[in-house]
Amino acid sequence: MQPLAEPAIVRIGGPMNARPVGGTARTTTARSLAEIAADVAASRVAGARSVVFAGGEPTVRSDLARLGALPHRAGLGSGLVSSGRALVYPGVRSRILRSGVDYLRVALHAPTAAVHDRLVGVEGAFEQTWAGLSALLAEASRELFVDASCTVVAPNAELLPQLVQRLSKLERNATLGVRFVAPLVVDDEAEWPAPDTLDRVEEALELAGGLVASWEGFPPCLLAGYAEARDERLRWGAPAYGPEDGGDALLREPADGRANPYPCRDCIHGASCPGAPTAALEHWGEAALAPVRGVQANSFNFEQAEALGKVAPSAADCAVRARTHLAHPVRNLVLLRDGAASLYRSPTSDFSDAEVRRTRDELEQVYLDISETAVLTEFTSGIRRVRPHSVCSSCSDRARCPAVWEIDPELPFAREERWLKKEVSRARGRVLDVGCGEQPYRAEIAAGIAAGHIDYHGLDPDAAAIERFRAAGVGGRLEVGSIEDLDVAEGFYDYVFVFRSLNHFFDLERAFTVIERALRVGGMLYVCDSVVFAMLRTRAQVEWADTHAAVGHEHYRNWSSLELLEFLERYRFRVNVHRPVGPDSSNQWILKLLRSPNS
Amino acid sequence: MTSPAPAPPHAYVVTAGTDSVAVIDAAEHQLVGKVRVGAEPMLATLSPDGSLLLVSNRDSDDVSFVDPERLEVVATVSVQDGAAGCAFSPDGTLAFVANEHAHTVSVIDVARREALRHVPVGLSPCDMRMLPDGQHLAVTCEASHELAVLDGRTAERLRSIPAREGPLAIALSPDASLLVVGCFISNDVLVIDTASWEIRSRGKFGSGHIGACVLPGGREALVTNGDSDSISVFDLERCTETGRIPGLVNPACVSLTPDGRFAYATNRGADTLSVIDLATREVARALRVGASPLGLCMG
Repeated sequence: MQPLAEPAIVRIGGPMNARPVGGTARTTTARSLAEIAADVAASRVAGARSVVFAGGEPTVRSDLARLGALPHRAGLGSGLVSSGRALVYPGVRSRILRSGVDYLRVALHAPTAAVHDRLVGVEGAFEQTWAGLSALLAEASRELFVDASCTVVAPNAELLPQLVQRLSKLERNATLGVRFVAPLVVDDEAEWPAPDTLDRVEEALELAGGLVASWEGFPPCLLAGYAEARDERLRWGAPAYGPEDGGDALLREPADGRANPYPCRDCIHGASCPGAPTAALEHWGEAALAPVRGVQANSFNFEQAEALGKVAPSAADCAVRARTHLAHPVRNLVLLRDGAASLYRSPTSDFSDAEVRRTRDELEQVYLDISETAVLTEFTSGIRRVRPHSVCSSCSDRARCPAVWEIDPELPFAREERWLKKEVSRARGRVLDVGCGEQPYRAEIAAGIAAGHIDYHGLDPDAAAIERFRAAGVGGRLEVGSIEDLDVAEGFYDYVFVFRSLNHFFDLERAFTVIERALRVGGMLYVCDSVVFAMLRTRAQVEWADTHAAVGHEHYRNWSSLELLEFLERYRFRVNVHRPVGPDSSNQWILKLLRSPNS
Repeated sequence: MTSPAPAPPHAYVVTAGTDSVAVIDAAEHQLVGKVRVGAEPMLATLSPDGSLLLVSNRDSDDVSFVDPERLEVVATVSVQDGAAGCAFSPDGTLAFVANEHAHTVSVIDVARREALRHVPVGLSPCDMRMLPDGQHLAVTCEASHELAVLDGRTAERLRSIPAREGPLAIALSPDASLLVVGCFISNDVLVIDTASWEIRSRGKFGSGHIGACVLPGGREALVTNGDSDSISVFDLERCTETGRIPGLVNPACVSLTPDGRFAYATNRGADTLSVIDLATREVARALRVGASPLGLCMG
């Protein structure tokens, strides 16, 4: 139970009576009740449903009771953030209870006086807080939620389970929670918790059965088993009012406090994760993150839903617009084929509306399946590109309309295929072909081998694919294995081909460490892969594709060339040719990268 | 009686990924036309009288002669593998094409629309500039790490100037007294005296130089940093970087508009053409020009 709905933070200013552990201690002038009331009113207008007072110690104010009641008078929930020391005084507890505060966060960083007092810099603080907390819990009704907030640092790491055990034993009428908070800053770097401290946090969360347990500020993937306990509403996101230059027991992340480094890019949680806190990344490094790898879809369908007959788009009184005005403009599109229009609809749950919109409207990567059953592998011949009708492209209603699309008669991958074939045929020297199994440039490779131009080494983890390749009589050395495990002499190869296999690499870092080592300085790395694309299919084609989809060849990511380039900044490669995906290209991007010198 | 308004200057932007040349009104910075050429076009140059646009087609091993007024290919001439840099002789009777993968320079009789010979030069000849005297054709040879100076009529090699690794970018100063050479791999920039063929100065800045141009006045020049999304501004006298223009995406070639107020740069990583205001040294706008833009010329 967490009583704070849509909270806003209002800073009250004034002195603090303990050091905020993991945050910054500064004192500002105490703000008047009138100033604070104005901020409470402003927060209400902005949509807040509760207000938490922080940024100063509320319990030392003489107007504590009126302060705590301010939000209620505005129809809002009320909360306080305190060191807890002053709770030892019955009068303070009485004023808090009288004011009707719903939420009280109390700093409690250890179950022992020695550690707690040292962290907050006040001798006797633990005894005061513990005694006050114990009394308050007994005196309050269950409507009060008391959150014992522990900033996790190295000195208290081993004590977290013990803290929970002690808290659990407290007699109480009020609701009691325990909160584990990641620090933002520490005075002494040695106090920053080690990554394995999270084992103690997990252990403590596990023990917190009778308490309302929560945590904030840690990389979500490192406490994935306790995702439902993540509560960061006051840490970031909630609007804050009042001067920002004061100290704060409430640890607030800055606007740039979260990042999505490389490991996050490959995590299936993707957009649903707020990112890793930059403070933790600075201390632990991105290698400490634990992204969840999983298979991802590379395409989605628009299924044929309705025949619209012989209608065509027009700049004025558009018949198509009239027929489709109720259709969702992103999830639907109209295909005009041989003069007849059909409405297609995408039911995909693999991709969000924003991703669907980017695929169809920004990159225009929409294709019509023209095979009798459904195309699964022969994409170069089994599909055709569809493009927005010229009338729709310039229509002012474009963003609100499914729009009409037409078939582009050109083979969709012709240019990229031609470019790659030509490059393969120009290779001279030692070639490593990563994921060669379904290699479409066998003729060029065979010619290169026969002419003595290349010493070819094909690598693929799929034994059956290697057998098919061997049966095709291309020649060269073929090996079943993955790039991550390849043991090769440094600088052995002149070329490395990664044609449409990047998205199948399980460990991208390991793979490119091997490739970087394998390629000689000045050698060329070719990477070609695809971004997400949409397919127009009939219901029968969709069913056939669903029941005949190949197993294996797991697809772990849908990276663009720009994403790969950003990732490769940590390796010694230089862009020679970059062909990104755009409306003028197919969904395949190409990178030709030169292996840079080691120095 | 009023005379007709002069035709606006045009920029011809080669878009390799669409096998086309995009035509830009260089006064309004707007796309005004397109012409389809050969496979994987790379670089382009206008004949001295402006009547022919020569476009090299890397993957069809030929060049397209384009009528720039009608935007039609009027002839296609076979050259050799990897057609890249190209140039006309000052009288417009000959055209030259660097064949990167054949390691040759083709000499074309423009009137007869046929290649006269293919002359071996250094390894991986990429780009070239004809000097106004018509006697010297300078060619960057990326894999043999040199600037080859060829006879301006026969393409026979006259001399070789060693460069650092991967010379690729090349530009001529307005008075043709200096040649700028940028190295893609080593990141060196050389400033070469075209009278003595001595290296006058050299510097090392930016990364992945592909294209260059000399600014009006001949004191400063631009060189693209294809690997770091910027253009370096540098002083020709000392060959030191004096500024950097950010906001590009894998920039390749750069050229000045005829009025000298703007520089255009192709962004291979974004399929755009950046318009750089030389007064502010900032990217003023970017135009979508088609997939994989590379070479450009003005006229």
